[in-house]
Amino acid sequence: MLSLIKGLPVTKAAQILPILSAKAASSSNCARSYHSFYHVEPPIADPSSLENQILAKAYTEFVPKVGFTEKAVNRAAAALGTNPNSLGAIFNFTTPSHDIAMELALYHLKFARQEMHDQNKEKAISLPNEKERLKFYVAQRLLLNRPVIDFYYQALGRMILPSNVSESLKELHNLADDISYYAGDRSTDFAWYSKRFAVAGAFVQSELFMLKDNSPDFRDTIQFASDRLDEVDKLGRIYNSFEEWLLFNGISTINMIRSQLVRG
Amino acid sequence: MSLVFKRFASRASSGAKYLAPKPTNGPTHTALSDAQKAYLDRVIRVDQAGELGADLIYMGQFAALGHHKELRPVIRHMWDQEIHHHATFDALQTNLRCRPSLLTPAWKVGAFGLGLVGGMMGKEFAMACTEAIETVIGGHYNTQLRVLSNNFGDLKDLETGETTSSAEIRHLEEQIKIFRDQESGHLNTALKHDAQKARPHWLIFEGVKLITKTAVYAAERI
Repeated sequence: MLSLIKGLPVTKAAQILPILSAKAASSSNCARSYHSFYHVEPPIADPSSLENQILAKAYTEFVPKVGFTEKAVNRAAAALGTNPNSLGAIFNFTTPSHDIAMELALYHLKFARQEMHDQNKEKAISLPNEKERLKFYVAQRLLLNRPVIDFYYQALGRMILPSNVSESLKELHNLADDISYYAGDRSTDFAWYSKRFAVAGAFVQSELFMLKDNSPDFRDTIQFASDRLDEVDKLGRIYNSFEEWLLFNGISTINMIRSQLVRG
Repeated sequence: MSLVFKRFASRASSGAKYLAPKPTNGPTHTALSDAQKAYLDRVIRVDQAGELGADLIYMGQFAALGHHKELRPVIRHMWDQEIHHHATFDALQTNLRCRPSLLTPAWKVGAFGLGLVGGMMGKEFAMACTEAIETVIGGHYNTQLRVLSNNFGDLKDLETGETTSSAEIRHLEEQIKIFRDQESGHLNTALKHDAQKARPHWLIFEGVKLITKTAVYAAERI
């Protein structure tokens, strides 16, 4: 889209036409609901937009050095030949948060969510059941925090600022939805909500645990997440058994009353 | 009664047979716009909730009126069709990843209660309920068909470059068409079985219509 203006380098065009790139980015910002098999699905973090190119550079090269800060994005922009002073224009037009460090944190979440599925989809098929796949995906997603774990507290701090919390919750929901769906969730009623809520809760707890975890390969974190998910599973089974028990007793009661009525 | 229990206890399967066959070489059309996705999301949510409701209403009527020799096969037939509709929208909801209505527990209790109480009030009352519900649903499905055929044909086929609606959309349209026709069949059945003889007919008819419309409005949004 940016190459529409001939004779200008891509980055220059982006500085003049932030509105155009805003349109390109907006599709990846919405909460994803309907997923089509017959229509192209836009990637989670569209690599063709300038913002995401800058963020990708910042994320891979500068976050391990300076953390989830505006500085990392500034350096990435400079490395890509964009004037760091114009970042405010590029990002404020295109992002709901108006906060560049938050965008970097969100980029991590989107990138890791995409990677979680791309890297593991073949391996997940071989697992026997939904619970195992759920544990597998949560573990793999947690391990994707590993490269940035030293600075991850900064990202978490950004995410829970009042102005950013709705964006981060949306992303958390998308993650829980992806994990549940890829694990093979087929719930059609209220369980859909409780499952995603429980997975999101287990994931956040495990992430907080991971910040202080020093065990090799984060073995303790994986164990912690696995235990939390076992609890979720148990809770679900209790609910289903209760529903079945209630129904059985309801129908038995109706039948008993009817048999008494027939006797007169 | 054991039928009722079996129906409640059954859990959704993968349901691939209810979907348009998945494309072998990946997507065939360009991306849906956000507005189109939001509309499809809403269509599937409200129709799933509606068919769940219909399934349970007939279950309630079956529980209350199943001992009538002449009514039993009639209600059973309508119920079987609703079970198929319900399974279809369950499959669409889980595979196309729409969220179900948040009020699903309320729809379950309300629909089963309406069917059971309506059935206990007598055959005419139950049939008047059916008449009112199917009237609203027929109009509701027609509106959806109009939007689906008008607003989803502007997407480019990736191979030929022509703008057509994809097999996914056409499949959804076909399903809704079939369901609409079957629902209006239920309306005729209700009329044939003395729906108009319920007293006071206008009150039951308008009351249940209002309840159905409110439920549709809520299920589209929540």
